[in-house]
Amino acid sequence: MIPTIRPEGRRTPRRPSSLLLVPIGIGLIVVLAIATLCIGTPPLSPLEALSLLFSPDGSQTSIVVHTLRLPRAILAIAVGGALAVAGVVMQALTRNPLADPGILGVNAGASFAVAVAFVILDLQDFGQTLWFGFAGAAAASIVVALIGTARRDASVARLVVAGVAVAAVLSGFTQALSLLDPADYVRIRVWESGSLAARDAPTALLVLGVITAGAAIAFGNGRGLNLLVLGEEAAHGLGARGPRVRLVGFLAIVVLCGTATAAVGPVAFVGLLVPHALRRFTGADQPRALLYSLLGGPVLILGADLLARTVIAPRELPLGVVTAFLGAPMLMVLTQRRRSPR
Amino acid sequence: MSLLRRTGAIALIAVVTTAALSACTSDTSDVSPAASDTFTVETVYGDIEVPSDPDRVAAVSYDTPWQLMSLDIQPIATIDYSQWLDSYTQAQQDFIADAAVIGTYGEINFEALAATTPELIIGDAYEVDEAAFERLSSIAPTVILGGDDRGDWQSLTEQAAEATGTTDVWEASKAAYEELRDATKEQYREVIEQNVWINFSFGNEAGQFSVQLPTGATGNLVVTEMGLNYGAGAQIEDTEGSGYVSLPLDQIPVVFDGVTQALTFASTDGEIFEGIQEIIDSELFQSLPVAESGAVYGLTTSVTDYETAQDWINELTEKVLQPLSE
Repeated sequence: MIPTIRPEGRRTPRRPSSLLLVPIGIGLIVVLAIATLCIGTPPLSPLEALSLLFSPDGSQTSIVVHTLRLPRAILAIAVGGALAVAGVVMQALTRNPLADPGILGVNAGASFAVAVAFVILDLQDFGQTLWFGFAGAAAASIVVALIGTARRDASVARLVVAGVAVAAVLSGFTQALSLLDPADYVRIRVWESGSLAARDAPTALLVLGVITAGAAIAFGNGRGLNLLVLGEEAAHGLGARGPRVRLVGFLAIVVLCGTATAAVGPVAFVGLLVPHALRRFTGADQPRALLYSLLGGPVLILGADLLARTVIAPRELPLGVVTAFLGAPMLMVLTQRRRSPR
Repeated sequence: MSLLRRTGAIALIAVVTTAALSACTSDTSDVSPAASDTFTVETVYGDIEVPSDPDRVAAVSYDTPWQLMSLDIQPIATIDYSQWLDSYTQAQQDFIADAAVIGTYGEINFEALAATTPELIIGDAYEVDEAAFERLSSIAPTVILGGDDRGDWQSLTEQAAEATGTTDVWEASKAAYEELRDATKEQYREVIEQNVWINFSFGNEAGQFSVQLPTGATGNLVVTEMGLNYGAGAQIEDTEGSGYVSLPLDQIPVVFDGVTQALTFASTDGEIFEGIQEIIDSELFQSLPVAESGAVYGLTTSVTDYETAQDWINELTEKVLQPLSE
């Protein structure tokens, strides 16, 4: 039996059953996804949207639902789940509740690769940024891993420092590239603000598939993460193979975060906020945290995207702006609540 | 200090001193250029004393070199256009070939600008704020142009002409433009009036498109000057003052409702820009009547003044109005 952490002097709070929370999470995702299909120009009732979804009639409204709103909903679900699950893994690996997947240089790597594509290769097709973004995220993460684990005294702290350093260097390069050409500066800035609007249905399904595989890797590592959060020595004493758990966790972060960032650009706060917000329901149980975050992330992104599309309609706000606006105050509130004496 | 910089510094001191002495000694009221070495022009940032016959004019904003080109004024310095050269005609490329590069779009290199020892600096209020204006003014008399809207190239060129003493050239250019515009509108009145038009481009983000509003340079020419009227779905207010509006793609059916002729932008080789072509190729755009009828036209001319406006009208006539009238 995997032990759960129980802070000294406190009772472990009773947590709602997964039998209750999981259907609620799934229900929220379904409702918000249907809202994504309904809201916009033209507005549709849920029945109309579902009717067109399952029986496309070739009309412009049907094309809007299938080529614009459906990929958007799929991407929101995939990216939200990916970032939130990656956040859980990152926080468990580093035993730092403020760790964000971006700490491993994923966002910086993806941004740099996209900047290279825009500025040096003069890439015009936004669709191709997916592959550059993923390659950049993966390459940056591998460099971070190599630097962070190269020495015998390798530790999580060294890995994090390596991630921060590589991210700083790559951000500098990205900024330098963006300054070469004002037009590319705008494109890079826009890409970095995040958007769900730019991918077609086949790409969205591909992203969903890759992220599903990444989530499976993370869930398969859940019990190992449970031991790792107890600390290296305790984990070792309980039979956990720390390096293997870290390696698999690292792989999951690269796949999840790299794919999500490549698909929609860097989206702030999701990986940090969702695990935090759900911690009162999950405690230190990592498999439970992974499951709830897998549902909570899509709820956050779908909700944020609906806000982004409606606040200044018919114009749109960048998704990353909305998640930052929502995420920062919510994180402060959550942090204060956790600190408040009872 | 290098010889170049020393020379630049000496010249700068001379220019500033001359300007200061002129400011002290001359009357501040409007004076004919012929009667004095300097005269006063009204600018966005107040009245400015400028030399009456400047030989060395620096253009510090994006459209300014082409506006000066329409006035037969050769700028000695411009921002860096190397990234966009392909989108300009050979004549435009040749025009700025010998100009010194004094920074990039939105980021003036003041030191490089001072080294060119300009006698007059001209820029656009949308790119030069008051702080930048103050710094520019310490180098040479600076005229910052501003119109009613961002795309008010008529006012911008008029002010540039006043500042450079080329009002006669501007008036001739304006007269030629008006003659061409009126003749074209008269000749193709039916085609113009019987169609619903739009000028569109890519948007601020992937997954968006834009509509050029009458407050922008191209929209000004399309709608206000040529009377190529937009449909009801494209009657959009320019709340941001950018001259265009960027909208999500699901707005396409609304904005293009009733549109029978769609204009957009193309590179100098005639190819519609890739980002725009992506929008045109989308399933949603292809479902529009205007796409089904093939009435989407890429125009290469970039409108900044009365000369380029004439080029644009000629291109419109050749590619759109004439074929439609047959």
